Amino acid sequence: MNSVVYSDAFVPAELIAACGLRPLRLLPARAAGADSSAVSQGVCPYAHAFMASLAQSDAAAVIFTTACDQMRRSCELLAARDHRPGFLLNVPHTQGDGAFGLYLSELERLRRFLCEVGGRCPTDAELIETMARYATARRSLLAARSRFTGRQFHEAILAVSNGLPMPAPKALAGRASDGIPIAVVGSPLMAGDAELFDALERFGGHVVLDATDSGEMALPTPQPDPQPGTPALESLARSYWHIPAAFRRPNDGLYEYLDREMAARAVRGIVLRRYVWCDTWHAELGRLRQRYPLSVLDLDVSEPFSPHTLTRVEAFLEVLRAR
Amino acid sequence: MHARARQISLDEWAGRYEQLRAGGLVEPWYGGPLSRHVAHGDTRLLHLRLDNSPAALRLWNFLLSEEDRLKEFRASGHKIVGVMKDLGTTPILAFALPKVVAFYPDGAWWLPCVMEMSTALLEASDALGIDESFCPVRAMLGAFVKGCHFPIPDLLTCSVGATCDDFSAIAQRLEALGYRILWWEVPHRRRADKSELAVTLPGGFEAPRSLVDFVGGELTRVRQALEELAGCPLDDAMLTEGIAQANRVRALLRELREVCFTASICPLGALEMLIAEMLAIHFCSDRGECIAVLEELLTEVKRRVAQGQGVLKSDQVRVFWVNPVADIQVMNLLEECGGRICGTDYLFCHALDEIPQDLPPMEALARMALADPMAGAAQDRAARICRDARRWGCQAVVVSRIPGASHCASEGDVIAEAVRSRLGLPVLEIEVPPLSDSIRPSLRTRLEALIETAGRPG
Repeated sequence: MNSVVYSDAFVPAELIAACGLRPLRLLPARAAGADSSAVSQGVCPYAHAFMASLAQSDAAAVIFTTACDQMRRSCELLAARDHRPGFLLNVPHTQGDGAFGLYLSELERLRRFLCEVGGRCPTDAELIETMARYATARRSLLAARSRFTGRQFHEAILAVSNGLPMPAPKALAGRASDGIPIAVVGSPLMAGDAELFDALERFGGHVVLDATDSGEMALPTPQPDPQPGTPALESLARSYWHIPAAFRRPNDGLYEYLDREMAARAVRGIVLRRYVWCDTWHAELGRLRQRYPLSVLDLDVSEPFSPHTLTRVEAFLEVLRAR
Repeated sequence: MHARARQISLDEWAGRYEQLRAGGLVEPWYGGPLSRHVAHGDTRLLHLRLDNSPAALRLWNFLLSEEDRLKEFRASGHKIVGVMKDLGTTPILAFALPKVVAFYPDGAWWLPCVMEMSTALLEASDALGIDESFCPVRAMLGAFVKGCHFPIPDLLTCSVGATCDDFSAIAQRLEALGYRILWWEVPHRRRADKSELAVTLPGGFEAPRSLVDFVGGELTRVRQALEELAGCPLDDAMLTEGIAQANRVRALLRELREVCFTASICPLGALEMLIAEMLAIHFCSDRGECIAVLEELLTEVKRRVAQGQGVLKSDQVRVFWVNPVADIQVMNLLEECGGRICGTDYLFCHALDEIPQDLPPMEALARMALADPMAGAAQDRAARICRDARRWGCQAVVVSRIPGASHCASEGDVIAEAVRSRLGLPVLEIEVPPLSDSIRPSLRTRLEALIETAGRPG
């Protein structure tokens, strides 16, 4: 089965799967060595690594979105460098009815694209069946959340999004489950970056909320079964439409989500994990600090997880423990 | 009154101004000696080479008096609209209404330069978590917070979608401080699929019919908000007249560019041309006066060309400039290095194109908004740059990066590659901060090397 790489939470994996293709949310590997010169020129480390990782992938096609300006522009770079077809999904930043209509029409266009790159055009019944399968898997995943460590849960989200079986939770490491409740928010992780969760838990924290763009927050909202007469694609679009995201304008939905989930999980500290040049998340730092009476650790992770970062994480947990 | 064309310092302008006054110069209400702006903090003027014509005097005074003008408008009961990011569309809607004026808060990005960092706008932005990793347009956030460079608008609009993330993020930070914003969407412009109807946009790009309709719907939301603000409907006849007036501005600028870029001796310096072109997107908050300023400038330029006069040497190398500079002094520097501007894409070339007047007005504006070079692929932008650079016989291209701007991370390479492969011209990529004094020697060396390379025969 051909795989189709996608870059962002607003690309419905179910649609790719219903077309008979294998969805692959690519969390890129850090492009070691090549990073520094490009990053010093303003290239987002994530966008840079994503393009570098694509070269190692045998995916039949690549789907980008307009959620981030640099990733939007990366689709154009793909066309110049790679023979594989790329698709740029217009994800509106505003959220009115017209914007939803645009998103829905974009999913229709994506469906046509997937058929052109080797997929088959699914019937509504097939799409509904695939949606139900994904919804069930996500429900099981969320129900099992407390049995996973932060890293395991992040990896399980990725597996389920890629249509793979949910991995079995392993024994909790050390004292994580009774550690200080931490929310990790920010940019999508790269492969291997879940080490951050390990570090937080090793120093006495417990990641209870993964509100990164590749974490729990980015899961689509479960929708009731489609009403008779409602096209399955519209129902699918609605479930993805309400994903809280920093790039939405206004992005009140992000804070409604954080308010609700952080209160429910008694979060005591926030880690903002972002890339240098990621203006979207960087600009939220001041707001997070103003809005929540919690310590906020700002981790600009343009470099691989470094001893310096580790020390900062340790100090952050020390401060929280002392409160 | 007509001295020989040349560029002079602000000190020299003092004498020149007295001479003009003695010769009977009549100025609009915002006129006066340029040195008074220095007293108000615009100290960068002290380090610029300025055109010596009365027309340029009027242009500078028009630009530097915008804050006073906005206060006057407010005092006389006008509603003020702050138009963010959108380069040229919403102001046309706003100015079509009675007693409504629009201005461009993003323009505050030049304040750290013009006031040589004396206004602490960037520090105010820093304090809100928007630091130097963002585009210098973050000065706008500081200007809102300090409330001392423009009146707080009655309505704020901001286009988002296929725009720079840095600006969108800064505007979101602004909204979180309590400044309500009407967000409207400009989606990424793509080519029509085989099954879709395609529409040709001003400037020659294409877009699917469905995207034009979508943007039309977004602009209708903006129109409704403006009607509510103005307390009266904005009908198609008013809008058609507004488009005609905007087209008048655009026609003047197109002619000004054509005359300047094709003259054998450069009749007007790059600095004044940059200021003039910027008027296309917001009319500097007074559309009628904007037209008068440009008419006088065009008359002066035509006179100089007819008399074989110019402000630079005849053998200056013809340069196409991409992106506006955060430090306007760099435009002088290019000329000192032996270059002259003969083509530009300051991010808003779509705001210089004629808006179709044979279409329903909202359809015409939607097409224009989608023609924004930033909304589409960098390849599209590069194609237009190549077309214009060829047309005006440019010998070199400068891509001026804006520090921290998300679009600058990759589009410079795309543009440079297109220019080299299609035109065979040398390309230089530089980055210009709000005050470039500390890197001036290096900028000079790089520009001189470009000019030397481009000017070499063969």
